[in-house]
Amino acid sequence: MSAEDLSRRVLIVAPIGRDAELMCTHLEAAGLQCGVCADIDEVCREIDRGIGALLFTQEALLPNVAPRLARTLDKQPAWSDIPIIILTGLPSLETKSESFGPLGRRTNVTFVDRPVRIQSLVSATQSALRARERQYQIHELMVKLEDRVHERDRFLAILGHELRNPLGAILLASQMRDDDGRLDGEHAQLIERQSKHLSRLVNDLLDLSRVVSGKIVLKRQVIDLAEALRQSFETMSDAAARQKVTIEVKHSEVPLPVNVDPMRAAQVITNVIGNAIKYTPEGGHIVVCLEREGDQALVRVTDDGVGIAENRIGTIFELFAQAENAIGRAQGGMGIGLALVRTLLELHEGTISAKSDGVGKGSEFVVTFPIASEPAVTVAESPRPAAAHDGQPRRIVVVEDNHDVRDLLRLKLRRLGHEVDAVSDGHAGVKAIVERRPDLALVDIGLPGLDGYEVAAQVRRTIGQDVVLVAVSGFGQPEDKRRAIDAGFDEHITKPADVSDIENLLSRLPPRHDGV
Amino acid sequence: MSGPMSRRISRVLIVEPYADLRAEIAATLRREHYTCDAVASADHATIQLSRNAYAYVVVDLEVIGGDLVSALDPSSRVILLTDNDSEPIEGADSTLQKPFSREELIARFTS
Repeated sequence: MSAEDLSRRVLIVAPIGRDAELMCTHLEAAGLQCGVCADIDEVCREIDRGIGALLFTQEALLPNVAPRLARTLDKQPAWSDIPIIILTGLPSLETKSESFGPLGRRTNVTFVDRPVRIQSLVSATQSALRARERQYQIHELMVKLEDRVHERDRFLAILGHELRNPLGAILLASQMRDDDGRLDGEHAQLIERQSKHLSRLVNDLLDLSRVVSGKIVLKRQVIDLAEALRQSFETMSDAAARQKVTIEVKHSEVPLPVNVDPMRAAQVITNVIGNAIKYTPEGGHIVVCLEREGDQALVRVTDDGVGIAENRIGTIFELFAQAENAIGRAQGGMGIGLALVRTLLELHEGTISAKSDGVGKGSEFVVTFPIASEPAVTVAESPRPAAAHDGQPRRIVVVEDNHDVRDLLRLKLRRLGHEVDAVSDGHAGVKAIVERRPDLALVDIGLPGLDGYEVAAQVRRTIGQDVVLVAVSGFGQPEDKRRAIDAGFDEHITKPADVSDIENLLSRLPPRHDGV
Repeated sequence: MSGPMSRRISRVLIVEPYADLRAEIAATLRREHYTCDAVASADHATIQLSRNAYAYVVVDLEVIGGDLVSALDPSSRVILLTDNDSEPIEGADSTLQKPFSREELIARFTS
């Protein structure tokens, strides 16, 4: 009998077999499950197994039985308080309580006087079993909550671990300045690489959190899967070159129309190819194959890299799987990427699977999307970021309360030849923008005094559209971008702002005629 | 030779799986004129220990295991890199919690 069945069962304890049988017949007729027992050892065993309720006749509670029973009940876990019904033959409750010693003092004991009506017996037993069921439900909830707490603790431990290595590398590299305070290229590149790694980690975490809480809304359209691959390939080719691995792409001979969010489909493929690059040593090969299998479009990514141990194949799509694997850790993999891929594919009714002949024998990942019934529409190529601005000096106002970020932006923009005013709060920001009439204002959202939204609103009220306003914010969700645009911003970029983001913005500014 | 100069010709073995951190520890110590060998795993560390005598071994706590411990020269100072403020670890001359600064690292070599 399972624990669940046992918890819905009442055990009748009566020395006279006929009484017990009779009660059992009536309770079963009312749809209740019951069993009969006369032996205290067996009763104690049933208590330990998690019985739903106990029904005693007074005569079954011999002087040696009540203390033994009380001791067994006391050993139950805190959440468990087994209901006990005692059928008595005595006139007053007070006398009854005393006569049962330690058992009578338990709060979950119900005394029922005999002679008892069948309906009363059934009703008392039903109440006892319902109370027990609620105990089990609360226990189950407690276990789930405990699991969540453990999961959170594990997450924080892994996150801490995963942040320490990149931060350690950045900290040491940033201290490798020469006597003039300059960093050489190698250390600066390392800082950039590790900072980008940390940014990706934060983005993946936020993405995963949004998927899990159902906040990702897919913007579906029918595209050819080759288009999603093209977009992700653009992102991954540099990483492959850096790792010195080659990627060969084999296109499908038939069209592969899929109804997907193009950005998310590209994200899925980028993650899977990125994973292959990460686990393929220098000189290795990756083959990305697009094909159709029945009503499914497939992306098959095969590599001759480190492979996957047989006992890990089943867990690699679980969150943090890579963090618990030495190779993944050394590569800076926290095990978010593949978990995110699986979740994004579930939103698209797609799948992902992996196989490997073992460690050192490469691996193969297969992503599937259902083939769409309509043909693909042609996707306009996304505008490529300009390589650099047009060289024309600009007037720029930076409104940022973080001292380091403000100084860094000012320094970078001045190095590009621009005239920069940098202020640290919202009121000063409005004043600087209105007075200086810059070509571009980069405005942080979380500012002291006025927040960035209010800065934009006041600027628009005062000087209208005579300046390009760009929100620079740590919050990059679509609703944050929408809120920025509604407040009067022209653009929204997410922190940490990359120089290329700003150069791209500058390249799109209309030319100046008056000069700076 | 004694004093700082003798310390500066010391050889250091760095055992750290995270490539960029390993490289920066080595670069920091080389700038202090230590001779460094940097490896990613306990297996490679064991090979290095059989070839060279090291005055210092800087090793990530997660890498250290039975074979590596038995390969260590008792005269080497062991600096253990850890993830948290753990209690002093037996066999380690000092511990260093990640992330650590250049000054914290160097202090382990001069103390």
